[in-house]
Amino acid sequence: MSDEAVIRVRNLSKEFRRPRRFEGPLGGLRTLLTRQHSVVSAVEDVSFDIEPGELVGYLGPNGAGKSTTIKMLTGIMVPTSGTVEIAGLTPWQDRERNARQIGVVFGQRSQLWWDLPVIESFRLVKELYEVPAAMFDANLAMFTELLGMAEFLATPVRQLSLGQRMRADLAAAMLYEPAVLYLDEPTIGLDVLAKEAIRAFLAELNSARRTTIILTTHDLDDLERLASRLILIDHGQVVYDGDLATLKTRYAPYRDVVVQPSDPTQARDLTVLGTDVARVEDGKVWLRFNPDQQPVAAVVGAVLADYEVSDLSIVDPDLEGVLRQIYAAGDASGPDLA
Amino acid sequence: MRGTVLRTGRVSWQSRFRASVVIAVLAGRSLWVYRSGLLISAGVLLVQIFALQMVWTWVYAGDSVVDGSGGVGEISLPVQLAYVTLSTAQFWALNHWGVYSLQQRVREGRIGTDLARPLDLLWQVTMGRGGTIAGCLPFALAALLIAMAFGGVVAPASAGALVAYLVALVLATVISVQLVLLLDMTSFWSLEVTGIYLSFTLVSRFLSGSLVPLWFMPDWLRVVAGLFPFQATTFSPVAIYLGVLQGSAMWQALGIAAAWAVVLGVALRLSWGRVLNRVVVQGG
Repeated sequence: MSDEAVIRVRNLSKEFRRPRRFEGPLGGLRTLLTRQHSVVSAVEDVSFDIEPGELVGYLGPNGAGKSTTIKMLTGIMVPTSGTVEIAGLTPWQDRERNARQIGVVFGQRSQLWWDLPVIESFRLVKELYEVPAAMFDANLAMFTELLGMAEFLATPVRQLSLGQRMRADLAAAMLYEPAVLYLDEPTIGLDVLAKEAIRAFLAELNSARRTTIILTTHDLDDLERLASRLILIDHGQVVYDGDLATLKTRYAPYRDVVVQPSDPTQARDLTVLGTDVARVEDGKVWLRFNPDQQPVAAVVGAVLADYEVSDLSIVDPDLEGVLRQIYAAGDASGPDLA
Repeated sequence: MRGTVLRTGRVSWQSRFRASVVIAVLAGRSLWVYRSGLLISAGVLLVQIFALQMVWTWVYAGDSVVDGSGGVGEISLPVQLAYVTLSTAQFWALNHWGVYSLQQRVREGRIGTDLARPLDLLWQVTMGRGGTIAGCLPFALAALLIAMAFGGVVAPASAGALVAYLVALVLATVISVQLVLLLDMTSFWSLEVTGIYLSFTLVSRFLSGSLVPLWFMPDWLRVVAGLFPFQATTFSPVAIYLGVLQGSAMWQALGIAAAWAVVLGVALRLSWGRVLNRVVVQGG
């Protein structure tokens, strides 16, 4: 664990108490009056450090505890136990001071004023965060250009498309140059172009300003494009903390060569020594092999020597497949990964 | 681009003040986006004022004065009509629906981003409510001017009564905002708040004296109304304006209103501390 860490999380846990629900006649009244509760553990003993300038993907299946963790890190929610320090501050005890150094974007919520032009919300941000006029003007001009906001700055938020709204929310969270940016599903429901604009903006912030970014997402392209480190959480616990390449190597130590023979009938019988046929589809065959045991060049050479080929490509295991494997394994992943 | 710098100090009070004003202005402007709804609501207010004036004129049935209870003495018809006009308009402005409400923000899960701001959320929603009331004021004043043209308003009893009314009006505004925020806080415990809001509206309308002045209530009911803060939001200020409450009675009414503002302020702060420990942001 590092001394440099801007975010320090130790043994963080959050339990929710929910009243027991009753069915049948007067069920609603009994639910209201009952003293019986069930306890649900959303986050369990999570620990990690994040250093300044890191861009960390925090991911897991629905209900894994991602958003709950982010809410505790931002000071919105008080944990059941454990500690969090953001640049030395405990977020839920020192909400206001902590708020000055963090930006927060929740993909499904907006901090913008729904009925008013976007620029009005930006002006409130300027006052709330005590942004000097020169810094505000410079950042507004830069973000307007980077995020293509010129056409909708004067438009009421409720008239914006989802992509426009997300861009405006992202700008609002960065106008005061926070050191840490939390993004909860920032690309949810966006089209390819809007996603790309947001990814490019985040990459720029992270590289040029060294803004520390924590990103929760279900969009694995976001992570492949942006994250230098992944923290994987499942059932409230960290099951992996490391870089993307190591995750893939550990969970999917193979590559595929996808071959399309000139004669489609050959696809079904195509075999190469040292590889397994993973899939045959649409006249193509996926040959799977371990690159540590079988060099890529050897596999490609063997294919080209024995078959006439109209197309050939080498495919890395995709993150989605890797994650599917981990989630399906449940707690079988074991503590050795964390 | 520059590198980011950690800023862990508090925001200056000047910036807090400016941000508070901006929140109030944005809440007021958001309400004005729905100005046609506001205009219709103000029209209904005017109809309500005229209807109540007709009812009270009929109740007086040619008598020039009627004895009020609680030692206020005789109440003349012009004073009663002025009470009806002022109290109805004042209640309307202080209790009007707004676009910015804590209850709605809890329900929609928007308090997540509110809580992540460097300004106390209780203060943010207070200013939002204040902005809503300010946004309603021009419409309430327009309704009053029209009512005045038809003789529904009388001049304040004296210059002193006007000053005391303005002080009482400020306290009435503070208490109204505090009551709405306390009510909104119930949404942290339960999302089924419609029944609670309906009960609150009925009770506050009646006990504030906006339907019937406390001087026309039976003694026991007037005593009950005196135990709640609602009378300080409508009855006391208007009775002071009309000179029905004067001298020691006026000072007592102002003192009670100030005491309620302090008690509700402490209650809000204490409840708020508990609320923050049980925040569950709706919708994940």
